[in-house]
Amino acid sequence: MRIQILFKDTKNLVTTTLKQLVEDCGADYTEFEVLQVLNEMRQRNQIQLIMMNQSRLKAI
Amino acid sequence: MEEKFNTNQFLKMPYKLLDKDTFQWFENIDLNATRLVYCALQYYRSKGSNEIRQSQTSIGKVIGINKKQVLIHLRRLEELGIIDIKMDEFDFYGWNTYTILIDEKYHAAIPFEIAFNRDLTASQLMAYCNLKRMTNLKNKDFICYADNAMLIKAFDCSSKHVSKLKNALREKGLIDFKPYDEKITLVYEKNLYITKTTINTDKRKQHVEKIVKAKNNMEVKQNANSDII
Repeated sequence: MRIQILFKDTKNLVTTTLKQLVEDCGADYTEFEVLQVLNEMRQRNQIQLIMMNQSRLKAI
Repeated sequence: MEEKFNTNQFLKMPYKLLDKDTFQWFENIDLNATRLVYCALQYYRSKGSNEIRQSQTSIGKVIGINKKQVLIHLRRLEELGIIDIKMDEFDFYGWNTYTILIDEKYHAAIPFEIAFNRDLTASQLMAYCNLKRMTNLKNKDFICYADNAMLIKAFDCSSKHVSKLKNALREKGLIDFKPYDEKITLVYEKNLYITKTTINTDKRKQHVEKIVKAKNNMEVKQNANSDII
């Protein structure tokens, strides 16, 4: 799944995939864990998350 | 607790050793003391190895008994085929080699903090091992359901002694139960498990957060797989 992360402090917008993030974390991490952390960061107002569907990607 | 142990260290107490049938040739002796010496041996065991090289004095120090008593119990374990002893007469430090022969496939995993707690007597520790045996390992709720008759059979003692053991374990904060209730909770171990898992999840979360934040600090060239707009 492609996601866009907007960092509120630097206003950087990073487009990456969930798979890529899991790979960066290490072998025994799951997508669920990464999503959980991203959600927590969103709740703390550190980032803004934009989930991108495949169909939307095609449109872009 | 006097000593601080690593929370990942567990003592393997084979179910076979807890069964009374294993000791059928030895009647009218203190079986729990023999079981305790087996536990003391495990103190010096390195992970994944069946061989332990240690002196009798050091084994005795773990549980607070002397060298001669240790040897009696070790010989008893050898006769039962639980361990194998190779005496080294010429060793300067008096170290011998002990090999674990008993089948450890089914065992009660007892944390080192509890297993080598000097406040616990041999019978109390074995009672705790039996209670651990009765818990559902899949649920990890550390609850065992056992009525008095079951406990009498498992601990191999009278009804009065069972309630004494239960009360002693409750006083030491290891278990909790309500009167006339079959439900017994292994409170100490449950708390140990909860704190351990929360520490682990916190560490993992911190690691993921670090990775996500690193994406923010990266320059455009470095971040080849992701696009920074």
